[in-house]
Amino acid sequence: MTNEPASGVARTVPSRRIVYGEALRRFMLRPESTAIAAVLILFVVFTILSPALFPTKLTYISIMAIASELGILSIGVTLLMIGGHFDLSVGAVLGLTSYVCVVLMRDFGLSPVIAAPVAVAVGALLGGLNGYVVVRFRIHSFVVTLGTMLIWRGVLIALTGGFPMTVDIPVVFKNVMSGPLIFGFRMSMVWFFAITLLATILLTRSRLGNWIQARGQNENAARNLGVPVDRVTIILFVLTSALAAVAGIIQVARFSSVDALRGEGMELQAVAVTVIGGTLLSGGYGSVVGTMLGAITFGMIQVGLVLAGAPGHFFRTLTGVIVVGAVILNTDVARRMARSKPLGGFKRSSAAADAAIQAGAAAEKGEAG
Amino acid sequence: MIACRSLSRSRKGVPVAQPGGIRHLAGTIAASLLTVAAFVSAPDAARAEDKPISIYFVGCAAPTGFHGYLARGAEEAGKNLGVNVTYVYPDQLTIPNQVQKIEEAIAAQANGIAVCAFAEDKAYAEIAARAKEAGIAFGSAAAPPSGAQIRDPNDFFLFRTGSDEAAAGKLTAQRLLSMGVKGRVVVANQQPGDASCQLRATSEIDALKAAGIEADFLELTMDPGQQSEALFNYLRVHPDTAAATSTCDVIDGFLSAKADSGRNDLILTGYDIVAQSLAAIKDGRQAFTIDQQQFWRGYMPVLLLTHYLKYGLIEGNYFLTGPTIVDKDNVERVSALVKEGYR
Repeated sequence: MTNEPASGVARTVPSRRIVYGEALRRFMLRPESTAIAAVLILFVVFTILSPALFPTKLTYISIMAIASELGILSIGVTLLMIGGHFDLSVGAVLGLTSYVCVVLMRDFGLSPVIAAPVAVAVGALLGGLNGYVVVRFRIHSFVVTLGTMLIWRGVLIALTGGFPMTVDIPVVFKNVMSGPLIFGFRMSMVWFFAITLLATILLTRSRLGNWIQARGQNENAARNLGVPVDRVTIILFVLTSALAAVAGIIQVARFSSVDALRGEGMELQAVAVTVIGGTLLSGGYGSVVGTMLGAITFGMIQVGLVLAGAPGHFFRTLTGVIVVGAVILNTDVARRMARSKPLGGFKRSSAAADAAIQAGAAAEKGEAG
Repeated sequence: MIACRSLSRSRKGVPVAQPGGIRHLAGTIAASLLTVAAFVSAPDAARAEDKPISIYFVGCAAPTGFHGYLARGAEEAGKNLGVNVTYVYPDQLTIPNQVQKIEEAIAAQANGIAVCAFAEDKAYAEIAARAKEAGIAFGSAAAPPSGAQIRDPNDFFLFRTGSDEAAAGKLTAQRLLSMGVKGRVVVANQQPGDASCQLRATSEIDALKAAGIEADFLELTMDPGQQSEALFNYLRVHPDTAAATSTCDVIDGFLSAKADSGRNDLILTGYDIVAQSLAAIKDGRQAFTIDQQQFWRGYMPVLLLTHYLKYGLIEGNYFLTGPTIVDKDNVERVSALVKEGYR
């Protein structure tokens, strides 16, 4: 008896080079692969530009401090973008919920253990309002959240009178939220990793995650398949604004203050981080781990440019150039990889599909036997 | 008294033809014409009755925070002088939006207009000419060009009253030099598009460099976390940095970077009076802050307009409200005045 599959096609054992090549190809098909490449490339570039200071622990602490606060905000934006929506109000929600937290502690004397969850709940409420307006009036989320961004920011400016507000934060709360407790790394990094893990499980291992991706790929098809599209949309907005509130509370704990412009501009930074992380602006495709790497990339750019002695007037320009470069790398590689064919001896489908085919072939073979 | 108006114009009552025939329509039109005629003749009648002077203060932003003190200054001047003051402002600070508010003030037949000018003079030249044609006194609640002291007789602004931002940057540099700063100074701007902040930064750097001190410009964002990490790493690259200046009022990131770097000897300076700065000056984390006495920026234009309209008085020198310094010596007194709304 010959060692042939049931299809009758002669099966050849691929060489090790092809196996590794195919493994790399399949890895590169993942959304976060180019974000890893961006991190590695920037690490090498900044290490060359600043060999004495960049590859050191203090630098990594700085990078993670920036990445954590922005990353928590960006994870919500990522889930929303995979679901096919935008939220431009996250920066204003961050500011407004920070204000709520500060006022509850300062003016109402509440413990931060109570004030912080209330602020997150307020954030969730604001997100729910965004989601409700989007699904109720069928207006594009870009426009709705542009409007609410102006509203929340205006409310914050009016409430603060335009001036920063300070509050005394208990040391324990400060340390738990953002203290440098992990060998100098801030606790915000732990929250960031925990939220990344939870969001990844939600997106890849839960029914809601499936629904989110289905909603992002094709709303009508998802609706026809029984996905509660409107409910998913509202949940996504709630999650996004709640995470913005969490990021705000971490900043309140760290700086013991809030100001009228807190969070301004971060909505666009979050979009940049999300896109660097491999999530498509068109929705339906993306990765939370990619966003984590995107946030680290952003932090690396911010810190690396200072350590490399970049000219002060061009700081934003250079940040923008690197972000655009990272996105070009990301989308170009993704496009090329999507067009690529499996290396010899491998089927076009993914590993899971390969396994299914093999299982089917084995079953067929068993029946024939 | 003071009244605040938003950008949107209030709708005037427009006569609408009702069903009921031509006679009714003719009656409506006649009544409308009579009403319009009454409105047109109103200013003359009001003048005859010695109507109070009406001054429009065209601000840069809503009367909150910094601009709240301007509005409060204008309000108090109005009360003290017995004139009506109306504070109007654009929703977004752009030249067209602000000029639109000036046009509204002209249309409202104000006796005087003070504008919180934020752009070059030529942006206001045309509207100033229209105000002059309408017989309206027109002044600037902003500083004159840097270095100008004596009022130019051809200046289309009757007066200029504000803080000299270039002088503010120079003052910061002079104070740092008097404190014996050596080595390097970093001057950071969190709002790179803001001309005031940029002028402060440029003049401080120029003055420091002229005195032989290394001075760098650092562009930052408004996020305090990103500010803190950028400054922290700047201090790592340049451990000889003796002082850091924040050209905007958000100082949290600077205080955090100073604490994180363990650089207790780092001299921090800032702008404007905010809670964090006052607290940091009191406990020694910040050396001083530059104050432009914004209350005066609201009060003085109303005073100057009123005296011009009543007595024909025009200033000889431009009136500078700042810069002044708030440091450990006067921080307690200033804090008390902040609570009263004057600083």
